[in-house]
Amino acid sequence: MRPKLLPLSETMHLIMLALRKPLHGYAIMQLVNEMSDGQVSIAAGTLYGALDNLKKHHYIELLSDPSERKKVYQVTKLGEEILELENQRLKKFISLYEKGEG
Amino acid sequence: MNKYRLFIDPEKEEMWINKIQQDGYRLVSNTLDFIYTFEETDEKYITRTDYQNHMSKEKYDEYLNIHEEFGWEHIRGGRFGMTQQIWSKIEDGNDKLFSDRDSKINFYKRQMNFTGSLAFLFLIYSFIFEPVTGNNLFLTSGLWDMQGTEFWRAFLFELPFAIMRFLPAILFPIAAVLFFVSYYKSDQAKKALEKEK
Repeated sequence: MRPKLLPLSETMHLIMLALRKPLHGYAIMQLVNEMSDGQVSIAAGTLYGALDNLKKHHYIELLSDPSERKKVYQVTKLGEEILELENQRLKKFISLYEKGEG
Repeated sequence: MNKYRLFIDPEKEEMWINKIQQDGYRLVSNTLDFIYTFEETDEKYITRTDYQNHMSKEKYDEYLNIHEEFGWEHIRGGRFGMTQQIWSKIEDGNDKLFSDRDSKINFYKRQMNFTGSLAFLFLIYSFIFEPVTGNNLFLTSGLWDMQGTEFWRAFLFELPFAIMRFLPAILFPIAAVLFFVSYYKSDQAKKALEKEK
C-alpha cells in the first residue's frame, strides 16, 4: 500500500520541497510562492494545518526548541524518502507524456 | 466602543465584525463571547474566525506563531477548543486563513464538530429542563384563588421566579435549533467544496 498522504497535494508537495532546508512559517510561504512562479500563495491557516499533518506522519519535524518563539521546520529522513517516491512517480508521468499515445 | 451581541453562527459573526471595521474601527477584544470592544483606526482591518479542537501547549504555540508571522493578531481563543479563534490583520491582499480547498473543507469539519456538539448539548438540556406549565409555574399556594391587590402583589412577587423557571425551557430548544442551523450551513458549504474536487 502507498504511504499516507501520497500522492501529495500541490500545497503539501511544495511545502515539503521548500523544507529540504530549515525554514520558519513565513519563509516557507515566500519560497513556495517563488517556486510556483507566484501561482501558489499559502495562507496561514492552510500552512498550519499542512505542517501539523506532515508532522503527524513524521515527514517533517520541528527543529527549533519548543520554548523558542520562532518555529523552524525541516524534512525528515522519512520525508526525503517520500519525496523520492514522488519524484519517481512524476518522472514516470513525464515519460508517459513524452511517449505520446500508446 | 463596546457592542453587545451573541452569535451562534460564526460566519455571521465574521461578517458583522468586518462590516463595523469598514467604517473605520478595529476589533480589539471579545470578552465572554458577547462583549465586542472596538476602537477607531485609520487602517483597514479584516477579521477571520477559525475553530481548532483541543491543542497541546506546543501545538498551540505553533498555531499562534505561524499566524502571527503572517501578520494576524490573535483577538480571542484558547487551546481547549471552547471558543472560536478570532484573528485580525491589516488588509494586504492575503486576507484569508485558508488558501486551498482541502484546508477549507477541514475547517468546515472542525466547525461542524463544534456547532454539532453544542446543538446536541442544548438538545439534552431541553429535555432536562422540560417546560414547566400552568399550575407548576407559580408555586405560591392558593395564588389563583386570591383577589384584587392581594393577588397582584403575590403574582408580581413571584413573576420573576416563574420566568426563571420557564426561560431555560424555551431558550435551550432555541439554542439547539440555531446551532443545528449553523451546523447544516457549514455542511452545505463543505459539500459544495467537495463537489468541486
